[in-house]
Amino acid sequence: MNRIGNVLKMHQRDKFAWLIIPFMILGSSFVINLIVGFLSGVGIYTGGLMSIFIYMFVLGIIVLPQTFPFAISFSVRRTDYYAGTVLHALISGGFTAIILLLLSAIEKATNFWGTGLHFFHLPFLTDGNIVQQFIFNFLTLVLLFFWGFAIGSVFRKFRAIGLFVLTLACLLATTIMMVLIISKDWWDEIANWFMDLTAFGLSLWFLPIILIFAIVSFALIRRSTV
Amino acid sequence: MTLIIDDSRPIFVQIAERIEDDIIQGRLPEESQVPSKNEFASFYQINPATAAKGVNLLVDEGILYKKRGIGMFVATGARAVLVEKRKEQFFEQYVVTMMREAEKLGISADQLTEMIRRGEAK
Amino acid sequence: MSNVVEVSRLTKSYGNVTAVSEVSFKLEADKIYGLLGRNGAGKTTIMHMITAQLFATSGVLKVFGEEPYENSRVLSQICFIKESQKYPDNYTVNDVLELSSSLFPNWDREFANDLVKDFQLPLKRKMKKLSRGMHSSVGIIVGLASRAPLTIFDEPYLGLDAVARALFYDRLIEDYSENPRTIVLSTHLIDEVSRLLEHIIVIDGGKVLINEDAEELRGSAYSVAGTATAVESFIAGKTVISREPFGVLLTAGITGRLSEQDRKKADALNLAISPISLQQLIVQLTGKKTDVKGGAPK
Repeated sequence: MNRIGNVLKMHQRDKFAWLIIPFMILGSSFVINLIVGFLSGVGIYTGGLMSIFIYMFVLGIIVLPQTFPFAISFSVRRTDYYAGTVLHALISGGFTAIILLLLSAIEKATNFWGTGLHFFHLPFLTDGNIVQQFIFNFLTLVLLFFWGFAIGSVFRKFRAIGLFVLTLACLLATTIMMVLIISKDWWDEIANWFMDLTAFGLSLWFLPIILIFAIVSFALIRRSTV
Repeated sequence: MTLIIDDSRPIFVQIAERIEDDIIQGRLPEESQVPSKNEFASFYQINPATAAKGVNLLVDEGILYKKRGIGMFVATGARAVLVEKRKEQFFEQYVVTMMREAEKLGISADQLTEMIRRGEAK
Repeated sequence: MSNVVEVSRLTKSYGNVTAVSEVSFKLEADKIYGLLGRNGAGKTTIMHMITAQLFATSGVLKVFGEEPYENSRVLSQICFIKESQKYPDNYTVNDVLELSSSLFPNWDREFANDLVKDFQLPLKRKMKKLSRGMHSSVGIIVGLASRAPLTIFDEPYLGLDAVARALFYDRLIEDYSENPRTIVLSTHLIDEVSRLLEHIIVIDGGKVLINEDAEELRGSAYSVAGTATAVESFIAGKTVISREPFGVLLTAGITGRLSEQDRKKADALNLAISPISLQQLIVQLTGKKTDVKGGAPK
């Protein structure tokens, strides 16, 4: 536990990557939208909130090149590195999810910042109750982190050639899926399935995907070298 | 006295020679304490094990002796023993070499004696 | 347990290139080792395998009597400082030292602080903004203050001037005297470190070329110079490690002790004999063009 704690400490020391940069990006996106909202005078709905989710994906990719060679060289076990990093991402995801809920509540309470700007409090995302909203935020952030982390670990283990093969495989899989969907005429069913989903329901579907990413990245990191 | 350690000969031999020099020239009087292996190591930037080997060489020869829990000391009579030893080495190192070189240059024994007298006067 | 590292027929290949080929050696507890050889000889690869950062293709590897891979009992006793250590971009000097104090069980904070003053390091500065020499100093401080039972320095002084390197050797010997531990210095600056070493392992072309007590190596080789014919007749039957013709003259390097008989013979042949320093010896032994260089396909 102490060894995993050391990995947590390692990430905590990098406040820039985990705290300052994501909220700076989100903050500047918000400020720009707020100014636009003021000037235009009409209520706008914006996707600026996406920025923090995308950042989580980027963070998942860059955390490995940033810290893996360092940690392994400083006598950290791969297993402990993995556990500590995942734990830190979960804590960070939970923290961010709560902050987003708070901002959403503030947005609603201030009557959308007095300008009609819908930045944090968006339809569909805020349909469920507070716990469901939290779970959606949390699981989406975690999914994106693990997605990036899995890509990062493919690169770590198999370098550029691995990423290239992976990309080709994904393209191939998507094409086959498309062909299948079109030939079997499944479009309507798929569309309906998505229409019926709530944000919360959707986020529960993220769980198995997160699990797959987690297993893949663990297996790869255990065999990665500096 | 030079601080530079020569890397083409075992260092422990050089350390032993330094201690011998110090004893012969009176910098380390008999019954005085010799620096510890760690002090030698730091001073000459050498491995402590090598320094210990040099000191132990002199212990084996009876030049130094160990006082338990205190350290190494110069034995009584060590200087006389070393001077004798050095005289022998002097003959080997300088006299024999000199004779060889003199032979090459065609210097006779008489001329050599004359040269030594001149050297003494300088 | 006296052997800290035991390596047997350790091999690392990349495709059909063999970087390390059937290397076997032992590192005993509390000695200072020199792992010497030219750049690209395979030293760094060997150290990466000992510290479980790279995986061996074949061979047996025991560190503190156990397999090092994912073994916290072993890894917590190792500190490996390498030339081009990467740090997280946002890390300051202070971040590295603070984290090291949690990662290395024997960390001596006071010693680390003294070293920071000695090397005049700015604690608050980011690692990536440090000069090359300062960057190296951080590694040296971590390596020394960690007091790890197995501490490995792989070319730790890139960009450090002679004064800073002397400071490193000074502190290393002082601290080692008081806190003996197994230290491996990997370097090509042989003349600078050779005095600190108790045992020397020379790697050449991925193989162990020399594995010998440092004191045994000093004075174990000499060179003879004179007319080519005279030198040739003297070196017949001896182990010759180098030949340098110069006009009608020839200088040859020979390993082995010079006997009294040899000395007389050399005198008779009018040959000049001089000792070969450790540095020269290793340069001569590894300077040869060998077939194994670069790893021949098998």
